[in-house]
Amino acid sequence: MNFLKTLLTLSVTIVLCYALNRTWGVVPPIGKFLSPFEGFWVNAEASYKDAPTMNEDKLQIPNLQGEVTVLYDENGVPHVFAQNDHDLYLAQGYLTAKDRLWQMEFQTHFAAGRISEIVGDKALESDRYQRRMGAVYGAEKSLSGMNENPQAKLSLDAYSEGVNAYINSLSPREYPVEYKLLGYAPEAWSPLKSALFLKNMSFVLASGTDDLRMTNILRKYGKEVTEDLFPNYPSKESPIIPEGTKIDFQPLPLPPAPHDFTGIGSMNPQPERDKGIGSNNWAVSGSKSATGLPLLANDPHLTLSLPSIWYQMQLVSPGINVYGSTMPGSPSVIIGFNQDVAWGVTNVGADIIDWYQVKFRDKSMNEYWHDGKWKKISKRIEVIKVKGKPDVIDTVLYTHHGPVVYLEGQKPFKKNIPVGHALRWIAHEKSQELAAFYLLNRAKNYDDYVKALGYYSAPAQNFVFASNQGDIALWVNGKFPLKAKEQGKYILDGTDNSADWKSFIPALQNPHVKNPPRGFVSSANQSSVDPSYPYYINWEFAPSERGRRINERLTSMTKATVDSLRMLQNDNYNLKARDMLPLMLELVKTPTKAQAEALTKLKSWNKVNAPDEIAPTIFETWADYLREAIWHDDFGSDENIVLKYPSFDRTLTLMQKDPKSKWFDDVLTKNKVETLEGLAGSSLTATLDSLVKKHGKMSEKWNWSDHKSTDIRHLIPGMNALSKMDVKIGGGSGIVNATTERTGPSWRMVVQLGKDKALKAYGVYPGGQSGNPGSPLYDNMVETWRKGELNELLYLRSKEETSPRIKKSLKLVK
Amino acid sequence: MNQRTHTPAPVQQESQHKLSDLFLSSLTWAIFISALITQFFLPWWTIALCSGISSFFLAKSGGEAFMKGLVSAFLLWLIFALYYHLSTDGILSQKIANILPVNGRTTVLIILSAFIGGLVAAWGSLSGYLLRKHFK
Repeated sequence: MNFLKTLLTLSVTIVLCYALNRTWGVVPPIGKFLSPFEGFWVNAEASYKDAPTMNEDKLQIPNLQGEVTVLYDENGVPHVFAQNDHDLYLAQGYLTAKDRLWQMEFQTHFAAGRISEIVGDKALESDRYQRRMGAVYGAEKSLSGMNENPQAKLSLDAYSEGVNAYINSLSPREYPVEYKLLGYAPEAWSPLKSALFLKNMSFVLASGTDDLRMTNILRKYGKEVTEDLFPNYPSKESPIIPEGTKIDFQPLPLPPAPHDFTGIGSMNPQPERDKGIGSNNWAVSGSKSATGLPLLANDPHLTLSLPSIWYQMQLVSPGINVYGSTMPGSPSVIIGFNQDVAWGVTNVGADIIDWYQVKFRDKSMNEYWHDGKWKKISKRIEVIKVKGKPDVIDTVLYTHHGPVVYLEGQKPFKKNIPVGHALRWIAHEKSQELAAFYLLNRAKNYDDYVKALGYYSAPAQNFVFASNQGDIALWVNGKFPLKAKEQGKYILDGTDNSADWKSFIPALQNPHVKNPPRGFVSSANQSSVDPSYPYYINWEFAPSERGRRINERLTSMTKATVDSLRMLQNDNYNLKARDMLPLMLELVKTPTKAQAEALTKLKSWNKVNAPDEIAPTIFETWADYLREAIWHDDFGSDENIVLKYPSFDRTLTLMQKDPKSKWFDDVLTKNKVETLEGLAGSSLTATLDSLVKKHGKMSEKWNWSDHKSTDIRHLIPGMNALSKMDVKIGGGSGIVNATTERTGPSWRMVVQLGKDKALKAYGVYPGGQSGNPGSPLYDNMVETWRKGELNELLYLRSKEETSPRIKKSLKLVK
Repeated sequence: MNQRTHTPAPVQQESQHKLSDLFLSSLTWAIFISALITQFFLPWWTIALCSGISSFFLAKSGGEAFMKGLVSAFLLWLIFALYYHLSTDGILSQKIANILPVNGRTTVLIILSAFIGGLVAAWGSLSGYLLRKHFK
């Protein structure tokens, strides 16, 4: 009996320890997690301000060749002084991991399609998608490209050594809190992970594709209607390369267009491009600035997240002294400045992603038809590990174009012969982006910048540039396939050799402009060039509103200062409202009482998307509903075919020039013909109904910022407690201050170029340097960002330079 | 040093005595100190081992082993959780209290943490005491 009692008690103890030491679904290992010796408690950090300043810590790091000095300023930005490049990038890896290890690993796990390993099979579809799109395949190729360049290889390898030195120094109690919450441990870093991270930027910025939707539309309406409603250049535009810019090269002949082809379409096209993802940048020349030297500004719009996608650093060693935003996971500064030059990037919406309809020989899918021959399919086995479940094995077929992401079932023209869509994507090319940033970080003038850009492939970016020699420039830069006009607007024929990408636009013939007469350069993801540029980049770019607004304001700007550029970054003026609202108001001829109240609000509105205004809430919702009312019957997706709506720009011209168009009739209603006036009225009523339903009667609850509700979310879905919810801020999609519900300016930077101490730089991002939710530096910059303010960036000339802003110093030694 | 006295005493005095015994006995301190030291180097569940070994040698009854295991580990975890909470203005505990089902109440989170530590130590402690009986 006693024996049984002991056994029972012992079992309870062991079971208790076991049960509290492991995760149960989303429940963290409770005992381990709550232990004040190794759980989340020890991740809490005391306020930075209370810490004694200048406490010189020494850290030993194997593989260092010399000593590295690190000075942290009050925002936790490390200013790194190394004696050689190897130590510099090693320190970058080490210090970035020190603040952002969990994020680095989580993002690269996501990129590699490995989230199921951490959270189980709920991430399986996302993982499968990453794998089938060739994320790992692309990263492997990109890594082999980077390894060919000695400088890129040096930075990549040293960075990796640094990250691993940090990981190896950790005991489990020191793991970032997210590891403890999800119950796993960090694994070793490798250069492939950096490659995965960089490739993932192509996923974020250059994987949106409408080819399948466009082919579905082509099949439904034919070429004429499709080209009319989806034109290749918008009616209102202010292209990035100013109209009238002369090309300074002899263009190559365009390849012959592939033969006409209408694919079978697809039931499972990719998500459309995220409308909130984009960016602004510009530079004004000395002729427009107060200092007589250029100013440069940049704000990349990405998904707003905590920890932030950016991490500020100053990197100094012989031959380099650069400050800017780095991306945790990659060596070098991505957006920044040095003593002589500054640069920034916005995304180019280039057509660098095409789909080829593949014809297989038979059900075994071992061969496909191309250029008059049966060719061999190669297969890549993707093993997806799943937490708590057996591995999932996915075989992905590859043609010479790339992976067959989509296999259609039995739908195609010939029974039993499957058809799929192979993906040709620039992100699968060998590339040298790291060499580009390595050189850009050290650039001293315009020629250095152009040389650096030559190494850059993808995701294509508008690189804005300014130097203290007085130059400003902008290159629409990346590796662009040399295609026939419109080649790749629709699905291409995978059997047709003439539909293949044959060569690329020579790097020096990419669209560019240097010191234009108008005294500024700018980009906001709109059309790269006007139709006179000899090559095809894409048929559709981001809507032109941000670009047109920026160019209007820069045109009228004189004696520009850092503050005038900062104000422009925070501009909330709604150009869509200026373009469309007067017409919408006119269309409601006999308003109801509720409508009249809304119309009064709209008529007295100054068209600024300010946080405390009700009018933007009404306008934005109404504009969406109206577009929906016009197009849903003709271009609404059903479960069999996925389509897309004509653009805002095309809708507006249709309303203005063809108000009696047949498109305004709702074909779903029999024996009734809808008019544009009718749609305007009914969509306004629907707008008000939905707003009342959501927020109650018209009151300050309808305010734009409350309605929009901008959230800066932690990378783990649903972790509201680690997020900044409902940030009160204006702006919106198509506004220069492009802060939408989930996306927005992820880093704002303004640089005043100058000689020596005349160089001044300012910046902020909506987060903090530390990735630790238990650190005061986790989200300390959000408020500065929200208010539209910038922090002065501390640019030190040497490690001996003193500044009251230095709060902590660290020595890294062998 | 804290031998149980067998002289009869008024009820109130006895309960006070019991209470002070609970906190000041050599067993309580043995668990507290051994757990304090090992917790810095070894996994959290070694509190069960520490309390088990202490009770193996020092406990006189099952009830004593269980209660002293509970109290000493509860106190140890409470003190450290409180220390982290107060010295960091609750910067992380507040967030975690909104993730775990404690309705954002940090006090509950602190007590819950301490209780988990106490619970595991109590069962470990009782196991240690019972095991010794088989070696007699």
